[in-house]
Amino acid sequence: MLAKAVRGRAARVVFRGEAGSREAAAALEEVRRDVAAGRAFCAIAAPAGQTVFRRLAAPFASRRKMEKVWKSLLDVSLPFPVEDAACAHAESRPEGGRAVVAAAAIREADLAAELERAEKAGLEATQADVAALALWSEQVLLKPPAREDAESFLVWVGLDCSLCLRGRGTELLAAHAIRHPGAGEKEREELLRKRLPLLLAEGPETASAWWAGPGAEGAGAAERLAGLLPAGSARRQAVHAKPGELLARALARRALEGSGENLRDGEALHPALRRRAERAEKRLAWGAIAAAAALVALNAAWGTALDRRGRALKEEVHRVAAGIVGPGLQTGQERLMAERAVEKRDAAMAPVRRSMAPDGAETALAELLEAAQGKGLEFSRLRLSSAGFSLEGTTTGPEGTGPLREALEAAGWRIQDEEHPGPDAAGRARFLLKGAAVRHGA
Amino acid sequence: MERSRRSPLFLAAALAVAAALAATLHTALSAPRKLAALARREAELGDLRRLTAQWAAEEAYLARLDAEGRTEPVDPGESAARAFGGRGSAEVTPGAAQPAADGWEAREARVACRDILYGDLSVFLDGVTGTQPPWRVREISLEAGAKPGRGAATVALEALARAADGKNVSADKNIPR
Repeated sequence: MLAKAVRGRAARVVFRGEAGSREAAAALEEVRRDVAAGRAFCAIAAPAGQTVFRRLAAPFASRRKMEKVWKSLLDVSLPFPVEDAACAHAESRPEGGRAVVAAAAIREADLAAELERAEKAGLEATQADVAALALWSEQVLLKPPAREDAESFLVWVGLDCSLCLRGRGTELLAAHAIRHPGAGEKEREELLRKRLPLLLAEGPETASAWWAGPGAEGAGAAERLAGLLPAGSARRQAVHAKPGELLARALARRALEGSGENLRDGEALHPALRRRAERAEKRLAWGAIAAAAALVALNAAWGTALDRRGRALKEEVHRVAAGIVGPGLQTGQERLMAERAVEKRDAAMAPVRRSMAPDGAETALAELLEAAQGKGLEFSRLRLSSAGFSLEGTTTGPEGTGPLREALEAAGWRIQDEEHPGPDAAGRARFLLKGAAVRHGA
Repeated sequence: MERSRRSPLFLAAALAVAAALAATLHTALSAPRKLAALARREAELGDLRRLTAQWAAEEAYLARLDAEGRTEPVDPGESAARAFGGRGSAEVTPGAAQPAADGWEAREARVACRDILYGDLSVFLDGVTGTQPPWRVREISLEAGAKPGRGAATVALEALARAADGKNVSADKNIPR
């Protein structure tokens, strides 16, 4: 049976028939061409009878740690050395402070034999998925659980081997293989009738059972399979639509999505996948080189821009300084020579600058007289420049020179000295004030 | 996988990434120094431009005075005579002229006034400071007289004037430009 999955469409069976037929050869040849050209993946299921499924739990919730220890955990429960096995695992999930992962392993020799058998039949498999995980993922997809804690069974009735899967919600809890190679329908069902009750007893009686697989096809299959359950069982059960196609469709979908496991890894990796991985690595390397080159270019551009700006400023400083210094300006000495020129010229230009802003002592006099107005004062002598003043006079007010001092300080003068030589002939209090301009400058 | 990781391409990628990181590190370490140097030079340029603008304004001022023929300040004696109008007396003593830039000089004068009305002094000061080139009052002394509103005053003035031989600017070697 050959199923094909195309992006955006549900997987469908494209061939079903005898392995050695002309139609099978044509269909497999097309697959081989697509795989060789890197246009497609081809997944088969690793033989379920030889695949060991384990649900591993670690006493920590970290997924990263689980990635490191899952193989060791698997090793202790395998009937063969893990070094001789091809292993795969689904994504780990946290469960009450623990990390839980579904893992599967098959002897490398068994897998190699299966791959060789497939190759002889004209099937070049790029992936060998775990049948139990593939079937359960399809079961969850087609029949989503109503509750996350609801348990259910899926019984895959194969031709040489059957699988009894038990899950809770979307998680696969257990997978048991029942091997019956070369058995006819009656022998197979007889074996299942003996084994299934024990396996179904692992779950609650309320857990529903789903049937699938080539053994669940045909008219009257539902009644026949119902008879495999213990007599008087009230368990809800149903057969999947197109039950024989379930695994093929699951494998095709998982291969397309990249959600499947691949037991054909490491040394056994298919050349097409190896080439694909190498191409991906090359893309990564070239991407890193391109990003690094861009970063170097960005750094160089930034450095160049700064240097260019520095040179432009230097030239501009030279040009402006030359306007101050005149001929003979030396490069690198712009500031020094300009400062010297300014110093030399400043003394000569000071009268010009004063003439341009001619506010002199008369302005200060006006401010001082305004500050003194209405303060009960009489001035007898006043000397004033823009730098300071001295003021002699008498005061008749009871507050003395206090209001005048405040007014002068508010107007930008700082009182430096104050003397009170005593009353004059008329009995008025004499005073002498000296101050400097703060605001007016020297 | 291992083989390809050790391939020359991966080695080149690793070297390129290392070079990029080194270049970025170098840029990051040197950027503050370069930016500080740029900021210093920009500040320097700003100072020089301000200075140039100030000089240009000063030269334009002198050029305007020259162009308008205002190269001599008013005579403070004449201004005093007009302001006081016989009310009191004023004596003008010219000071020594100091050379200034571009063929100009700074002149000084001391005006000693006696028994004047302070209102007239205000008129006198307006007269000498309101002309072009203006007299600037450097210092003023007042001494109250016997009558209110009257007294003595001494005013020290300075003004810019074209020097007698100051037509040729470049002739003055002591003053730049």
